[in-house]
Amino acid sequence: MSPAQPVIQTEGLTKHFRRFYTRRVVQAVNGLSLSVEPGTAFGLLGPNGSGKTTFIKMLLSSIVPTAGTAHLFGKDCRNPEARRQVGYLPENHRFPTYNTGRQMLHFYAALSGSSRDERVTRAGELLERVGLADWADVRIGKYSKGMLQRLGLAQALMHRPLLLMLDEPGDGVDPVGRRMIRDLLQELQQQGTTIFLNSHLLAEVELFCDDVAIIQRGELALTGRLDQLTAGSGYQLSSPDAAEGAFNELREKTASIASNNGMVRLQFADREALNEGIDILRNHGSQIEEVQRQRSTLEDVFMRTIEESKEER
Amino acid sequence: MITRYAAATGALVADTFRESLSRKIFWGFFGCSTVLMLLFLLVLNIDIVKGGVAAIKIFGQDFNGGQGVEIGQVVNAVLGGVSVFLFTAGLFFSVFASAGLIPTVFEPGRIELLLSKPVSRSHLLLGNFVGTLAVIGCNLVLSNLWSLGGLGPENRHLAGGFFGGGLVGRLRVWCVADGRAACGRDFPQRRPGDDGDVLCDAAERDVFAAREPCSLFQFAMAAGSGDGALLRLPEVSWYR
Repeated sequence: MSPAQPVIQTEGLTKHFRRFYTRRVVQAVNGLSLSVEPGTAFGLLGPNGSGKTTFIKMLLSSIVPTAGTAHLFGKDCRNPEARRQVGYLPENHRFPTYNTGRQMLHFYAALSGSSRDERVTRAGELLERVGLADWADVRIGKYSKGMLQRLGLAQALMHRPLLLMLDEPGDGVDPVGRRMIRDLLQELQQQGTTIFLNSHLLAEVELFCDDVAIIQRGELALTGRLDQLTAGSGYQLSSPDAAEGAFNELREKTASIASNNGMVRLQFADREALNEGIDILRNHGSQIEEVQRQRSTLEDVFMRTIEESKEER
Repeated sequence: MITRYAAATGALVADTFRESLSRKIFWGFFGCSTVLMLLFLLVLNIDIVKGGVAAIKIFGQDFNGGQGVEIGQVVNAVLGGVSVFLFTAGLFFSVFASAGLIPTVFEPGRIELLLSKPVSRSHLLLGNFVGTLAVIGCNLVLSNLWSLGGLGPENRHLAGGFFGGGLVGRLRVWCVADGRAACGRDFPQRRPGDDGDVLCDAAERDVFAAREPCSLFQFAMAAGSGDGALLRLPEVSWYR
């Protein structure tokens, strides 16, 4: 793979299912074109039934696309070798319960082509890392949902993949476990691993991802860098003791002034107005507590996109 | 590339082994077939004097109607009945014990993860098929080892014959064993060191070795194959 080559690239990827009895066609994914650059943390978002999991399954060749192409590391995704550097944690996984945690890690790593020595070392490391060292030789049937999820993550990392695809990784995991997963993913991202995250937990995605794509009814509704998508168009300044005399001058510069528990909050439309406001406050001897850029949350962006998408239809 | 392919196939085979051993149905049929073979082994006892049937006991009870009957006729009749029964039961046991091994791999939630690895569907199918064959193959090797043990140290020269005879040879021995099991444990007319004696000993061990479903299946298949030799007493010369 050349350095500039996308890790994931799809062109017009489409999947239509035909219902057996009614012969009705369900358009699960419809002409989805997406590109994920190496080393990024990419979040795929969408409401239930929007085609996220179908999209991932097509990338991993679990289901065959109706139309379009998908490439992993520049190789056609139908070629098994394209998946050699992919680690995957499915959403509703069913790990064989007759294996112990350690046996399961060995099994999946062997399928990925890891040598025996590497598997032994790596299994020990990862079981420790995901907090399952004490459960390594216990049958999986006795694991809780959260433990299975952590084991699944360890499984995905056994062969040191360059691309990690996670479908709802935080599902069933307690807040401590979720934090552990997030820290682990951040560590991996710093090491250059590309992370493709499919999650309903928008707060998790917002904390972790660089790029996001929102799909609705199988079509791409929005894509871009997270900081750009959530960037607002103004600034907020907080002052604990804004002088009364300054208010008259400030009213011409601010979009709004609000006071709560002695803290005055001033909204400015742009950077120039903000700087002028700061000058006025300082001239009146007022203290400035905080200045921050106005941002939308990912949830705001998500809801707005979904609503717009519905209106367009 | 070839090493990776072999390693992945090996992992699939090992996984099939673990899965089969973890199944209660597998052990259930193991128990059932063991009971069945023990039943055939112990239920019928025939005493023979000068080539004729002196007494027949079923579940320890005398069955006097058999006196004076030619031993070959008794063996043929009993073996025929047992073979038909075992063919049906063996087929049932083996199909039910191993039927789920491959379909479980293709269950939702499991197949997606397997296919995310650099293996194709055909490779998965091949690995599991080879795994299932390996489980059956292990039974075959085990039963061979048991029968070799049954030959005794003075008859090791027959070992080559057993292995050389291959599967068909083993199946014949099993069927002969069944004849012996069905007719009782003792043939008073045999002479120590006689090849027939050796074969009967080996065959008797094979009855135990054939306890597991797949062995039972092979045994039953041979019994139902229609080969006339299966219904006769030991063809000792065949193993020399």
